[in-house]
Amino acid sequence: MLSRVAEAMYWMARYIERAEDLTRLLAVNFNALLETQPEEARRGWEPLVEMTGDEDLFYSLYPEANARSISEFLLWHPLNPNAVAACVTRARENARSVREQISSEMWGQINRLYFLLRDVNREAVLTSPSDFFGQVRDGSQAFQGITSATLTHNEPYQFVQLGLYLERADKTARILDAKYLYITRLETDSAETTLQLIALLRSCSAFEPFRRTARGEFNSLRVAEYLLLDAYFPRAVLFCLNRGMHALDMVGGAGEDYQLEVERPRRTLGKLRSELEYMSILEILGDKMYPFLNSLMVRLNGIGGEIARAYFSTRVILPDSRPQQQQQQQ
Amino acid sequence: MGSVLNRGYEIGQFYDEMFDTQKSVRPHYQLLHQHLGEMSVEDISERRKVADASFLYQGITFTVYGQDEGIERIFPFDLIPRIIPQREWKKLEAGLFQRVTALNLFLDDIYHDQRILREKKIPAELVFSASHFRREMMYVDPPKRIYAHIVGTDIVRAGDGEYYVLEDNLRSPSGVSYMLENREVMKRTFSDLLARYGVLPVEQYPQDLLSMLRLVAPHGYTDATVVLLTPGIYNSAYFEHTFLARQMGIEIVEGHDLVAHNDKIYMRTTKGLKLVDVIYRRIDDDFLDPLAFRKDSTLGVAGLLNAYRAGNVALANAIGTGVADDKAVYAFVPDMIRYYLNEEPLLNNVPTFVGMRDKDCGYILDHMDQLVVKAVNESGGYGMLIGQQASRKELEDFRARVKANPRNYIAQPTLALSRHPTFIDDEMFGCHIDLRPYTLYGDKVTLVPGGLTRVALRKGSLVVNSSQGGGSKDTWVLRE
Amino acid sequence: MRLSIEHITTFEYTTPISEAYTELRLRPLDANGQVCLSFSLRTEPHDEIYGYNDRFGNDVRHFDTIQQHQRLVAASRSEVLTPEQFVSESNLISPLDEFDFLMATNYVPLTSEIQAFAADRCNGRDAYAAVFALMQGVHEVIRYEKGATDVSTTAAEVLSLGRGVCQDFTHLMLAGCRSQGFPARYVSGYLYAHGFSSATHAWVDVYLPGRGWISLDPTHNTEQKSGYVRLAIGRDYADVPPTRGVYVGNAKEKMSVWVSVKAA
Repeated sequence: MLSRVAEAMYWMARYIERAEDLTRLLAVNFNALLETQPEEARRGWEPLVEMTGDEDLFYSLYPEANARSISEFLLWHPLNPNAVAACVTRARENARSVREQISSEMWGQINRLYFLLRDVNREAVLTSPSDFFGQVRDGSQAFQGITSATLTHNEPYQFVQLGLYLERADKTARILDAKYLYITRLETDSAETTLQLIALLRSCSAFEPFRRTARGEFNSLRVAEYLLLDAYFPRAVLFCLNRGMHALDMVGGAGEDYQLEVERPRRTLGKLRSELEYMSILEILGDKMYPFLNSLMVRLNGIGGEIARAYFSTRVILPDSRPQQQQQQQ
Repeated sequence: MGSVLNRGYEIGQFYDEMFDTQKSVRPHYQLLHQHLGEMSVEDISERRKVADASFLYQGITFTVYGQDEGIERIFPFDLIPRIIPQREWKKLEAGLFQRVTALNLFLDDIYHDQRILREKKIPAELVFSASHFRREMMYVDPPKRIYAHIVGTDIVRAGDGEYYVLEDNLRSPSGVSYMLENREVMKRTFSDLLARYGVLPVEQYPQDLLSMLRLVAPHGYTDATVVLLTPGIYNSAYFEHTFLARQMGIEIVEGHDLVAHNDKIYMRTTKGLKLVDVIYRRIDDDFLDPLAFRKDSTLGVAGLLNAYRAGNVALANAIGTGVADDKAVYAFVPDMIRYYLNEEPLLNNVPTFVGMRDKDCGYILDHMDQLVVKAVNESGGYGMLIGQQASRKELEDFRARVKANPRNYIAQPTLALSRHPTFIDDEMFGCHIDLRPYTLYGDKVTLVPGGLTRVALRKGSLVVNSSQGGGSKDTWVLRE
Repeated sequence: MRLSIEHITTFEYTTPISEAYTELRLRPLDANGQVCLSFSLRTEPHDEIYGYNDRFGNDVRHFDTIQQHQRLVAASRSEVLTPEQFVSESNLISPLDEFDFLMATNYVPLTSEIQAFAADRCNGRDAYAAVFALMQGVHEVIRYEKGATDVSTTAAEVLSLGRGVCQDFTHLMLAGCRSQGFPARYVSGYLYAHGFSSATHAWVDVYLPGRGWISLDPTHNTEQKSGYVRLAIGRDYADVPPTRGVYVGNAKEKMSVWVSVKAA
C-alpha cells in the first residue's frame, strides 16, 4: 500500500489513542484528588504534568498545578500540541487524507469526536468535567470498535493496530513512570497508598481486572508487574508489544531489496518483547525501576522511528558504494 | 391528484426532444410518455427523493470546501431520461470517431513535422499562440503515438433538429461518473421501462477505459501498473477520481506518492518503490511537473516529463492535448478532418467567428448583441457572454476585451438549443440540454452508448454546467 | 580554436534535504561550425545521469538525487573546437522557430520604448546593416556593470537602467531585433578571454531572410568570432540556464559556480 496512506492510518490511530489515554488519566485523577487536602492534591497533580513531558510549557502558562489548570492545559490549551483537542484534530486530518481507505462509519465517528471537542462549553466542562471525560473516552473507544468491525483486516488495518498499540504501550509506561515515585514515597500500607494505587490502576482502566487476578496482593510491586508484564490485560505493556509484533508480522515482508530495512523494527520490537516476556518484576525492584522505565520509553520511541524509516519513507537502493568516477561520455 | 402530464407543457420555439411541432409524441418517446402518464405527481416526487437519497448515500457528490467540512452537493439529477434512437446514434458515433481520429492525427502532426501548418491549412500562429501548446512535446513520441485517449465532446441539437459539436474537451474531461451512477439510479427507479426499451448498457466504461490504459503501457508491458493521479481531496472532481479508480481497481495517488528515479516513475509503498507504467492523470499540464512546468506546483512529480520523454511511463491524456481545447482551434477541426482523412465532416461545428481573423473580429464587434462570445480557454460557462441577454455595460466591457486581445475570443450565433421535458419542483418544463459522449481512443475507437446529458435547471437558462445551476439526465441509446 | 573547459556547480543547503532534481545544459553544441570533442559529467553524491535533446537541439543532462544530502556537486569537463567565425547552416527557419524567436516573453517584452529605441537605430537601413546598428546602439546605451541587475531583470528594465551584464545586453538586443521583425535567439555559452577569469557569457543570433543566421555579441559590439563557445540556444535566458532544478525540503539553497576556459 502507499506509504502515505500507511503513515496516515498509523498516526490516526496513535492520536486517537493518545487522546483517550490522556482523558482517562485526567478523569481518574480528578476523582482521586477530589477528596484530598489542597496541598496533597497539588502533589497529586504535579506528576501528571511531568508525565506529559511538557512541564516547561505548562509552568510558563500557569502558576500552579491544580485541577483546573491541568484540565485546561491537557484538554485544549492552544499552545499545547499534545492536548486532547489537538490530538483529535490531527487524527481527523489524517483520517480525512485517507477518507477513501477508511469506512464511512469510522469517518463519521471521528467527526463526532472532533465536533464534541470543538463545540463543547469549555467553562462548564472545567467546573464539572466528569461527564465530558466519559464522553471523550467513550467516543474514542467507539472509534476503535468501529474500526475493528468495519475496516478490512488487511495491510491498512495492521498499521492502525501498530499505531494504537505502540502508543498505548508508551502511555502505560509513562503513567507508571509518573505515578510510581509518588506512590513509593508514601508510607506503605497507608490509606493514601491504597488510594493512589487504585488511582494508578484506574488510570489504565486496570483496577477491576487487577483485582480479579489470582494474586490479590495489593502493593506497588504487583501493580507495576501487572501493568508491565501481564500478557492478557489489554493495556499492559507486554500485551501491547505482542499485538504490535503481530501487526508487523501481518504487514509481511518486503521485496528482496528491502528485507534489511524492514527487519530492523521487527528485531527491535521482538527483542523488547522477549525481554518483558521472560522478565521477573523482582529484577526491577526499587531504584532499578526508573532506569528501566526510561529505557523502555526510549526504545519504544526508537521503534517508532524505525517503522517510519522502514515503511513510510522513500528508500533508494544505492549502487555500489565504492567511490567511482561517474563518467557520462558524449 | 393528477398525472404529471396533465399540466400545460409549452414547447415554445424550440426543438423539443419528446414532442414534435404538432405536439405529438415522437415515436421513440411513446413508451416513456405512456409510463409518465400513469404516474402521479406524488409518484414522481417519491422516486425523486429515493434517487437523491441514493446519490447522497453512495457519496456521488461534488464538494465545495468551506471552513471545516466540505459541503457535499449532489449534482442535481432529473428522472426523465433522454432517449436517442439507434439510427441517430449511429450518425453521432461515426461523426465522433472521425473527429477524434482527426484530432489525434492533428496533435501528432503539430508536435512533429507540422505539415498541416506548413501547408497553411491552419494558421501556424493560431497553434503556436495557444496557451496549451507545449513546446516541451516537440519531437516526443508518446506510446503508439496516441495523444487524446479520452475525449469528451459537447454536442447540442439546434432548432433545425441537427446535431452540432459545441466543443471538444481533451484535458481530463469529467462527468463520466455521473453518467454511470445516473444509470444505476434509473435501473432502480425505472427498471421495467429500461427493459422494455432495450437500452444499450454503459457500465462497461471503466473496463474499457482500463483496457485502453493498459494498452498504452510503455515497452509493450502486458502486466502494466496503472494509477490515477489526482490533485487530492480539495479538488471538486475528487469524487469522480476515487470512483473511477475503485471501478477500475487501480491505485489512486497524489503527486507526493510518486517519485522520479533514474528516469522512471515509482510509487512510494510500504514495500519500497514500485514501478508505475501508466498514469491516468487528472491534473492539468501546468501542475504536472515542477521541474518542467510551474515551479510552484505541489501537485505534480518533478522529473515526470523527462521519464515520459524517455518512454518509460505513459500518460493519458498526453501532455499538450489542450491545444485542441482552444475554441479557436476548434473552429478548424473540419479542416483537420479534410486534411488528414480526406473526408467531409460527418458532424458539423457550430459556425464560428475567430477573433484572430480580422474580418471575423470586425463582425464580432459589430454584432455582439446577437452572438455568444467565448474566451478560448475558459470552461464551466465562465468567460462567456450571451449577447442577447447582456446589458449595455456588459456588451461594452466585452467589446473592449475582444479589441484588446482578439486572439483570445471566438463568437458563435445564439443557438436555439433543443429542450427536453424536465421536472422543476414537480412540474414538467422544457429545459435546454446538451450531450457529452465520451470517446476512448486506443487501438480502436470506442464510444460508450450515451454519455452525460446535461440540463439547464433554471427556467429559460442556457447554461448547463454544474457550478452554475445545471443538472443531468440519464441518456438512453436504444438498440433499435 | 581548441579550448578546454571545466564547469563546477555546487549546491549547498542549510539543512540536509532528501530530494533534488537537476537539469544541466553544459555540453557544447555540435553546430554552426563548432565541434565538441569530448564531454564528461560527474556528480557527488553519485547519481545516474540521463539526457535528451530539447526542441532547440540543446543537450540536456538530468539526474535525481533522492538520498539525504547537504551538498550537491555537478562537474563537467569538455573539449571543444571553435570556429573563427559563426557558420550559418541553413537559410531556412521553421514556422515554430520563426514564431518563437519573434515573440515577446517575460524577459523580452516589446514595449513602446524598446520599439522606439530600435526603430531609431535601424532607421531605413537594409536588414544586415540595421542589426549591426542595433547592436552598436545597445552597446552604447548600456554600460557593463555587475550588481545593478539580477537574474530576473527584463529588457525594458535594462533599457531604463542603462546598466547590466551580458545577460541584460542580450535580452535588450533580442527585444530590439524582434520589435523590428527580425527573429532573434538567445545564445548561452563561454567566452575565452586570454588571461581573464572566465565566466559564462551570452549573446544573440539573428535571422535575416535569405541570408540565414548571423551571430552578434552586443556586450562587446562584435560579431561572434574565435573564442566563443556555444552551449545552448533559446528564446531567452529561461530556455537555456546552465543549471536548473527543484528540491524538496525547507532548507535554503546556495549555489556557487566555478568556470575555467583554457586554450588546449
